[in-house]
Amino acid sequence: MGPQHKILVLDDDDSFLELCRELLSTLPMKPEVRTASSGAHAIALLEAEPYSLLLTDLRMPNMDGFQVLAIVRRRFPGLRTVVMTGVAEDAYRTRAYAMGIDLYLEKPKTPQDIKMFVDCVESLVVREEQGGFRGVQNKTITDIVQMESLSQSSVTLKFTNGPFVGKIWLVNGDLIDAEMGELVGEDAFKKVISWKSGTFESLPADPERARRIMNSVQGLLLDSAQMLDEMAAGEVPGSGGAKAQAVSPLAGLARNPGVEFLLTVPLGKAKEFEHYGCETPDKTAAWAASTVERFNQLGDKLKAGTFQQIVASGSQRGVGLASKGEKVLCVGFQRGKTAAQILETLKTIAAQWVS
Amino acid sequence: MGLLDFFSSKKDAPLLDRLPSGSFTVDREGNVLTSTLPRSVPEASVREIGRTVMDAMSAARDANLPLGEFTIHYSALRITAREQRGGVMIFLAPLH
Repeated sequence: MGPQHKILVLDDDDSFLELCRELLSTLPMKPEVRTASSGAHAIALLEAEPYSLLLTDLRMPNMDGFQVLAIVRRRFPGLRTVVMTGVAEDAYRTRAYAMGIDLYLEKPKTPQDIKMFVDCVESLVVREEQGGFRGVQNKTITDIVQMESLSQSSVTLKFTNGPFVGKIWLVNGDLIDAEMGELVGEDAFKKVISWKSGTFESLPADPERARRIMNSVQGLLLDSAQMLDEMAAGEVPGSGGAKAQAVSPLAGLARNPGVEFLLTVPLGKAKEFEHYGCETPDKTAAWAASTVERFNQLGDKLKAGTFQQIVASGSQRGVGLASKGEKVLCVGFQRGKTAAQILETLKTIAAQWVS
Repeated sequence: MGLLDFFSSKKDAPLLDRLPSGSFTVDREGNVLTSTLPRSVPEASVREIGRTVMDAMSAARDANLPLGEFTIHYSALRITAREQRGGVMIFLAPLH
């Protein structure tokens, strides 16, 4: 059984996020659905661990959907993205597709819309698992090169993977050269062949191109397949060939209900924090450490006993602080959680954290 | 008897202060405006609680965490603070 797919849904409407969570949880692949109500929080979650798919609204306060997509394209080029919005105007649709999204959907209103929405998301996640290049879905670069070689084509194949562009030259089905950034020849070919997704174009052949690759196509593809197998253990599916991101141990604690972010920081060393999904971790770490320190001192002065927890709530979110020894745990909660709910979950998380 | 005296000795036992119970309000400058705390509670302690709570709220705002209500749990005391227009209302509740 493969790893569980993770879908991130971004919208400023809490009730729509809840609806998406319910709908997507019914998919047969049982994906893990995370939600974010602001662009900054969505980016923080994407940085914390790899996701299979991002669904985003366009109209949101502070950071709108286009700004989020621009950051996502630059920082997570292999991530599948779907815009899901109430805006039906063509100008928005065209601009979103120009930013490299996979799908533009209007927010579902009828049961038919909902079925189509769920089917589209499922299809995209499955496609992400299989890899493939836009324009020739479900075909890997190996498939494309093999097809062109067997049909003895003369063509220049151009592959784009986020900010990277790779080209492979074939003359009469014979592989003569490849280029990717500063790499050329076999090194460039092996690099390009490791990409799992992106966009693909066929350009006119260049018979004048000097030959730099002396190996046969089949020989190189076999070498590359072996290399990819060796890399597989350290790779994240759909990451566009990037090295696997190490998943923070805090990610497990963030599975608790209503948790928005987690952060741990040693007392007196605010810069040595670890976090999961926090938008402004440096400021939050400094605040958490100084607040616990000051209330510890206050408790000593009042002889109020041992400091246990702080539960705080505001218009945007709730926060819980706990400490163990010289380390502070700070947990952010989605807005709307009561102080009692925050305290209960904070105690559970603190117990898991300590153990 | 010497051994029993040893166990029942209260020479080093800490003084058990009565923890304050009641509520008070402070303005933005940290001045205590109203209070239902007993007179036995030192004014300096009350001001210190108010200042610590207000500093925590203000630092939270600076860290992009606007938080209007705090509950601080100690093993023997619970402090609840609610931000109000112009200041903070603070409740002290001993737990034992």
